[in-house]
Amino acid sequence: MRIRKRWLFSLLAILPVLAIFTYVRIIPIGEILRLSLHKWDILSRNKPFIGFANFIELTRDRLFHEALINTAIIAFGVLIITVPLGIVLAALIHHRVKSRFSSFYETSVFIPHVVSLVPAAMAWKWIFDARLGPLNAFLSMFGVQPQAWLFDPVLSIICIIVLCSWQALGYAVLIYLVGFKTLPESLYEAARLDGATGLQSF
Amino acid sequence: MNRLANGLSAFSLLGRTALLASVFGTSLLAATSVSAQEIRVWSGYPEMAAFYEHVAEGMKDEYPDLKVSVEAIALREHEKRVALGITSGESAEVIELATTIAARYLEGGLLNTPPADVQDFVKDPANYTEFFANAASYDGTVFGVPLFRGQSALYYNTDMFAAAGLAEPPKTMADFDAYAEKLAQRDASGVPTVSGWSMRLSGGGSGIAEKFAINMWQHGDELLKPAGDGKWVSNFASDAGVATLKQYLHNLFETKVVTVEMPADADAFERGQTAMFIRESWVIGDIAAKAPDLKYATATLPRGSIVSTGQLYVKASGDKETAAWAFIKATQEPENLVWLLDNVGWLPNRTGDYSSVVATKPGFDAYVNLPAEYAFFTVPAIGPIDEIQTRSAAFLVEAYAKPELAGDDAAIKAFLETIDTEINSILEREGLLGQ
Repeated sequence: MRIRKRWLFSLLAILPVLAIFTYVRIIPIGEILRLSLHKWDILSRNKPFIGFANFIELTRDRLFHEALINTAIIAFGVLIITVPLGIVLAALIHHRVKSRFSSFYETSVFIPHVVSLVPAAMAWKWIFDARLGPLNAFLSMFGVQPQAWLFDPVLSIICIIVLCSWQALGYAVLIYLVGFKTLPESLYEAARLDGATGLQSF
Repeated sequence: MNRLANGLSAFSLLGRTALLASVFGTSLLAATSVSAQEIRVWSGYPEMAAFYEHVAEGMKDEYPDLKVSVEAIALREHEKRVALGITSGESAEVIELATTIAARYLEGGLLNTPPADVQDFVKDPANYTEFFANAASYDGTVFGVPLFRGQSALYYNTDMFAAAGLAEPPKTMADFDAYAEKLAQRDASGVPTVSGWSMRLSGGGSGIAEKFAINMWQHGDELLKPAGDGKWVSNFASDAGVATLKQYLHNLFETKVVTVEMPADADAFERGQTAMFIRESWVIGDIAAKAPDLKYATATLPRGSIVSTGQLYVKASGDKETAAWAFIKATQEPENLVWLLDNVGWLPNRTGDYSSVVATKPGFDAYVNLPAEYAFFTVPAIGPIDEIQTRSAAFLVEAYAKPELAGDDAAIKAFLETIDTEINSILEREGLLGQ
């Protein structure tokens, strides 16, 4: 009886939030899914049911395929950069924890993560500018021709991977740093006793 | 008999008095109902805000309490808010829309039918040519009031032309290529620093397709060909389409007079970063504001120009609707339209005398004093036109990054055929594909 009362109380307690969540999330999602089975452009009076025709058209859309491929390349590109680099940076920061600059390193690596994407994108857009960007100016010192970073189909993908990695790296470092801090020191001591180098310990 | 005559006379007098009172009362009521209103005007051209505010200011004598709030934002954002606003019932009372955009709302019966006097005003040939009256109509009924149009001409830097030894503007599309080569300025490594001809090569949206269409028109054809009975067929892979894309690629990758990343459009022209470009008349006002010392001239295009018409429509009811139509009628006052041309630069659609503006701003000459054989075209006012242009633009941007296409007619044609396939599938989906 007491357990049922507790359940009832818990249910009643979360009911208002559930109701709001249902109204602002579940119902609109359901409505969108229902509308996706109709032919409608928001404006037309008629909304004929067309089944999965919209989805079939989408799967045949060349631009949709291109967007999927580009998104996948960017996602895996960011992963390939942030995971190993994140571990390395976290290890470096962790093993210099006694350094007076360790907080500075942690903060500076994490700042990009909290910077809003809009000003960050504008700053990077300037960096990658083909005529006035500092990146091309820097590369020209080594004899590299200026590149149209944001207009070339391949280079533009690389630029987005760089931007996303720059933003995501701080969070990855934070996660790995927490992981490093939970590692028992005894493991490192044991590795040292066994003659492991710093890299081997890592 | 006298009594009857007197009675009739009295009745007639009473009737006339009643009629006069009702007309006066209605006018007073209308004026009162307009005057006490607050209406909003939505525009997709920020530079038009000054015009609408000027019109509202001019209405203060007659409608002292009418409050007109003008909200003019960038075109794409404007189109989004119109789509959301009209369907949610939260739109402005006066909405400025291009013919092609208005078509989908008129198809859905979402805009007001004007009162009879407004319809008659628009249909009057003394006020508008048949072209503009039709642009404001749907299915034979007038729905909007024509206001301004976009019409293209060539802008060229006369100092740069003189320095390159060019005495007059290009007359043919082949001239454009030759001129661009002479006008392009390069640094020591050969990279162009001033483009010989600024072409719309990036920026997303349907503008890229529209500018391609303008150039294709000079080569003799258009993007969508009418196939009769309200049907259309995509025409990118025609001889004109091939010639147009070939010209773009020639300038990009063979003569390299322009690159995708170079500054472009009016801003570049005003900063002296391009020698010539094709654009609408609003640039004249823009140059006057931002680069008043720039030495430039305008010229007609080799064959003709696109005409994109903008109309004012109403979405309101009751007194707000009355106020909205009163505002729209005020925009058509001749002195307001002369002000529009003089201060904003968009070309008014109403027939009238604009010679005073052309006399002081000779740049407008290429827009109003046209060769007899000058041919206009317009984008079809069909529902999916925006999707068609945006899709085409995505393909064209891809082509502008393919140097391997340059000079290869067969490859260019094959590429354009892929665009045709895509566009025809959209037309077929909407039941608009002809043979």
